[in-house]
Amino acid sequence: MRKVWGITKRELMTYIYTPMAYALVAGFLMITGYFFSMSMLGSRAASVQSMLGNAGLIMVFVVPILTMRLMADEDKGGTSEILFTTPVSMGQVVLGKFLGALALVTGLLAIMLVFPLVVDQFGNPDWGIVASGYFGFWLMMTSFLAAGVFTSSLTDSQLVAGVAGVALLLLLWVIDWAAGSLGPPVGPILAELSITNHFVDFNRGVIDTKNMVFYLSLTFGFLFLATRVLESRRWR
Amino acid sequence: MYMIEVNNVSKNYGDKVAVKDLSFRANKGEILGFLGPNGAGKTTTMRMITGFTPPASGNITVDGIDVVEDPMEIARKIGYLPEDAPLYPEMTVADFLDFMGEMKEVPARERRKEVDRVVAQLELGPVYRRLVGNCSLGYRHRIGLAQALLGDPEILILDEPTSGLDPRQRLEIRDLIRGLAGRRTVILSSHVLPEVQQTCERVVIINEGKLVAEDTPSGLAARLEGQSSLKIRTRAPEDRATSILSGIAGIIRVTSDPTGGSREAPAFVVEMEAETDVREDIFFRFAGEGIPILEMTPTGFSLEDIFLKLTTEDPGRSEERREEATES
Repeated sequence: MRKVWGITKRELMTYIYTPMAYALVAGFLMITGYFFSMSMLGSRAASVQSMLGNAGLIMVFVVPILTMRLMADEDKGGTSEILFTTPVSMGQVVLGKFLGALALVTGLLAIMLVFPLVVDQFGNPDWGIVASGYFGFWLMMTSFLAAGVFTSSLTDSQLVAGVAGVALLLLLWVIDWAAGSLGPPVGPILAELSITNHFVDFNRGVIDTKNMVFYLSLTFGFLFLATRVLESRRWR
Repeated sequence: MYMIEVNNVSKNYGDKVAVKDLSFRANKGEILGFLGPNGAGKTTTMRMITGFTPPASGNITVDGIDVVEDPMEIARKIGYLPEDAPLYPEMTVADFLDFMGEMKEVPARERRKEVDRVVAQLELGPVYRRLVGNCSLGYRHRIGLAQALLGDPEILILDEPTSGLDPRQRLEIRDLIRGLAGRRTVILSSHVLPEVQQTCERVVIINEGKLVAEDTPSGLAARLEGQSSLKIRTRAPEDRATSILSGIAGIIRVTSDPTGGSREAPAFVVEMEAETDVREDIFFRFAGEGIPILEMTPTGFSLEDIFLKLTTEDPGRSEERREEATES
């Protein structure tokens, strides 16, 4: 566990010392700020639900850019050779890197708390719904990040990892669009697979175990796949 | 017991054979030089010993442990400097070494002391707070070496530890590696012969993935010591000259040298038995046949020649080199 923390610390430091994360965070906050202002001016409702819903879509593009270098860069720079010849397991590497990116995104969510605080100045937001929405958003992000770590483990090209990550998340985002026209039995399954459907309840203030299980299994599933991909190199 | 045993190991990358049926051993506490031209399979072999890539067939044991079966235990025993010393450029030297120490299970309490030790040993003081990416190539190489030494591993695998260094740094690294002898088992690869000759107790030469020779540097030299060769050019057809030369006692081998002669006056390289001088015999024999000798130049063998001899299939090249050496 100490080694996992070491890797997490290193990844977080890399985000802090390189400009990429700042550009992404700034861009993301600008766009969510715009969403927030528009929904405030349009609906005059004391809530951040519409902003959070839209922010999820932006994260489909932001998260893969954050995670694309995590594994791909180790191969590209040859540092996988020094890292994987230390007594550290592939699972520890994957988990450490995932937690590093998660720490950054958690920090980003903390900054986003400014939106409900602004609402609080002028109205009475339902803090229960806000809390549930942010918690759901954070859970959704764990699955996004895990998917990004997975695509990054597939290639030594950051660009390919990023594009594959966006494609994978977009697919999971729109997968239920066909649900209505396909009908049972395929339709309901696709609807269940949708990465956004499970967030809707959270954003309404409902914390359903089913939705939590969905995001957590997606997260563990992708992290497990990433670990297996890395372990498979021992057989190549 | 041997510290490192490589048994009939093969490895392919697609159709390309990287290592083929390679076997050699390293004794505990010795410095083994791993020599071969670029692309001979040195890096692949070292990666297999560290457990980074598995062998396709055959097996490798380190201190009795199979590298495929227990890669974690192997990783604890080996300090590894990969080719070109890959590092994390966005970290400071201090953070990088601390991180690597953490990965190598150096306890938190001792880590600072351990980092200080390797920093002193490789004289990294001046760049301690600098970003790795901003360090010169020489420093980066030493940082890579410092990283390999962290945790005081029993075995060091160093892939081209002195490439990209200036002569003074080369000398320092060489001294450092020699200072590690006895306590640790070291395998270092190089394509620079004198370096291996001066540092290593034993040398393994590979070419195109196959073992070519395994001996001490002096043993390798002794194989051809005292033996010398002559370059000869006569005005006689090639087969005629060859048959005359082959008939002289003391001559081991006659090879034609297509670069040094012409059709009417072909050139040959003649290898002689140790401590024999057949020059007079050659003179009188050709004189007896009425064939003029146009040129007769004695050439010696250097370790460089041995290396080229062992690792080049094309005989023309080593002859060319020898010729250059004679001319200069």
